[in-house]
Amino acid sequence: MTYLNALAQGIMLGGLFALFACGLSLIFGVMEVINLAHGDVAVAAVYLAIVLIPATHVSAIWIFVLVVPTFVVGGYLMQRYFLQRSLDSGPVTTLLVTFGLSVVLENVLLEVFTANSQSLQIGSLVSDSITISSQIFLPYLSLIILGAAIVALAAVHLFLARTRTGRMVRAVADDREAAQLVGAGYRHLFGVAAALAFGTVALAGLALGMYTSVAPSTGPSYLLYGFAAVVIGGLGSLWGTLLGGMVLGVATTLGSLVDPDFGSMLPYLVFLAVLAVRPRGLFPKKSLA
Amino acid sequence: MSALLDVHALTVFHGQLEAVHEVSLSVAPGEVVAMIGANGAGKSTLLRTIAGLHRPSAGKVAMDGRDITGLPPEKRVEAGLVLVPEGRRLFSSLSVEENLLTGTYRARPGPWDMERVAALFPWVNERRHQKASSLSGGEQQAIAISRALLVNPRVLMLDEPSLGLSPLALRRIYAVLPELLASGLGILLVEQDVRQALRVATRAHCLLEGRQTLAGVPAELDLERIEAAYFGVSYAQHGQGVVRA
Repeated sequence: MTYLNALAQGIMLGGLFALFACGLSLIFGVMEVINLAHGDVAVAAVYLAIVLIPATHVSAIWIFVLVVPTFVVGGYLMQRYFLQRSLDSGPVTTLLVTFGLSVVLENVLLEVFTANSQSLQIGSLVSDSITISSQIFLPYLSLIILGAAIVALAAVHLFLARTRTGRMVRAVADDREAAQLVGAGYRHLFGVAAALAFGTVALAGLALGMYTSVAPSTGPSYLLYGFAAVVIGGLGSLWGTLLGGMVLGVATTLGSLVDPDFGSMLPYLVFLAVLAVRPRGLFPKKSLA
Repeated sequence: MSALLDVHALTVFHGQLEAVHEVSLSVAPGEVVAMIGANGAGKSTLLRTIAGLHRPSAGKVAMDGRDITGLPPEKRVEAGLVLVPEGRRLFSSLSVEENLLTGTYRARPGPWDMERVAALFPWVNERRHQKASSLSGGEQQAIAISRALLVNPRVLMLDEPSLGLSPLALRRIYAVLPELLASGLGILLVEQDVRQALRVATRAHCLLEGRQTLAGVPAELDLERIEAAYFGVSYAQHGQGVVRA
């Protein structure tokens, strides 16, 4: 029964990892950029919420209504006016630039908010849960996070699969030149992909800020989980990413049953095992949606 | 008839190599201008430069007298200049229908829509949900041309449409040209298959190592001169014909 509970918790934690990973997958799939600042962007979203909550009197659980759109717009502008310049000068430059962005973000947050851990206060929601049996209980917060992750991933999927712009984002990921030849400005479409990535990772950051506490230096460790989820699921496949996140989540919670330290090690062992057996991930796929 | 597309003394470098040297040409509505030449003569580079994918080091590209030399490819598409690239370049993860729909993303007003394109290639309707990569070479070429038509181009540039196609598939592709011309567009055709190109062309140019060696109306060009322009040797020196029309 303890195992069943760990499994349930792990699946819910997996939603959070998947939400983290989906933007990484998207930016890599469309622009072939590995965004090393991805985790720090999530942490920045938490700090923006920490500033906005007292200023606007919006409760922590609803603050995403303000934070996510800010990051969507910010992601678009960041891509168009900052990352695009580095993209134009080659793939190594983007790696350096996003690494630099990560360092700058971390240090600005450290300077403004100190190194103390903080979390988003959501009152009793943090501890309330549905008790299914004496051994299995599902915390409301975990359910909300899993639900939000699935809704966000489904929204991204529908956008890419069904809308004109989403279709062109996939086209530009397949063949940038051919997309230009039907009149698509790839810079705009890259901006759209970055907007989606920043929006989803901001949502992931807020979820993280409610689930646990974050400090300016938290970002990179979640970047690793994101990478692992993307690779386990198969690069470029959104639903594969969700599954990859859940595999990591379950590995974390099952590992923690044995020993808390083993809980942070097991996901990476699983990651290595998947790479050894299926180097292209569980669902290798070339298309985004 | 005045020209839609005007290319004047275009010179393009690939690094140190001069791939295209001062090439000039024009395309008017209803006209097929063929650009023939051997492999590596600079034909594709010329088309890609006209489409905006390469920057020329000198020369001018104009549509309707408007200089578009500085515009990126997507802006040239808005001006009605559309390239069907060599190798088709379909979006491999998109379905056949989605590939066609990308042509409508920035479509100009004009006669071509999904219905009319489907009438051009009737098999498209049954196969629209298939992945584009599952089509045969000839079918892919048909989709690539349809995708370009949906933009409603005024000048359509075709880069080696016959490449890798069976003779039957090739005939099917070329069979639609008259209907395209009737809709009022001009075609700039790059082709290695000289016979095929000269059969449909209203005017022909020959490129040799980036230089224009011949230009004229196909009926007035005899094989001897074409061969000399194509290979860079005169018929007398070479001794025997290679191009048989």
